[in-house]
Amino acid sequence: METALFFIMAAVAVAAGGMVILNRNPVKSAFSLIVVMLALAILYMQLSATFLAIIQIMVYAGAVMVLFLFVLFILNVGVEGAFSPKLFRRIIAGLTGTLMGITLAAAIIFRSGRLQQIAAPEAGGDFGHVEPVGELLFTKYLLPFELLSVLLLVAIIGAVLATRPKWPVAKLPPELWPGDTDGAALETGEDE
Amino acid sequence: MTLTAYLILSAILFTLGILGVLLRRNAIVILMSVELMLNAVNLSMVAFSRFIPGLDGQVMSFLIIAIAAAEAAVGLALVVQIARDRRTVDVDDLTLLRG
Repeated sequence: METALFFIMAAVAVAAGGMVILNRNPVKSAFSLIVVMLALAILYMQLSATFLAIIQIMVYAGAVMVLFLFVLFILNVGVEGAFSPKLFRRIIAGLTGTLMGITLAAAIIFRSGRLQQIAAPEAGGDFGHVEPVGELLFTKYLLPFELLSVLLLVAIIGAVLATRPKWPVAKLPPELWPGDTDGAALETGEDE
Repeated sequence: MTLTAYLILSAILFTLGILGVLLRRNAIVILMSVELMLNAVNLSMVAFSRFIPGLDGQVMSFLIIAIAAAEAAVGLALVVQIARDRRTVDVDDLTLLRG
């Protein structure tokens, strides 16, 4: 059962991951990426990382991918020109990527003799639940955790500043411009 | 399942991410491929934390998820600004820094 679930989820993740890079339409790529993340969440459940699986669905599939889709929809990105028109460039890029993949796989397979000796112990009790994970996060990993909050703050400020338009997008009509000390414009607005 | 199987799956997903970064021209799809690579790393972290018992791998995954969210926010903000300025998100057209 566990083995079957692993292979099904692995197949789903790899197929959807392939769709991310092969789909010419970026919106379809985004949806494929959501499928990858959901499949990985199920694998996390199987690895008894329950809390992380929930966070994966909430933060990745819920928040990050919505942000991606949101940007795709405002920019109205077209379908054409997904890959480079130059065949040579595509071949070089594909070969480089495949070579890196082969290197990774070779590193794992050459070590697999040793890796096989590591058998998963029985996951008992609350392994991967909120409490033990949170305890570790707030004791041993307190400094990275706090630094992360600073990083998130910087990211918020950076994102807001980077997307700030040079002038207000929605201009106020002249009769509502500030500087009207007696507020006559606002009063006429109310009368109508 | 064995640890090797999880690591191989992680390597495959990471490779797909690399291929996406190298092959695609759309800046948003490139950012998505980077997310795919981060997810692959997360999978190997969680697998190690299960097989070599200890929750450190899972905590590390939390930190990676948060960093990925920040990276996506800033990256997409930059893409939006580039699209506004240059009317394209095609990385082949952004050659201002080419010597």
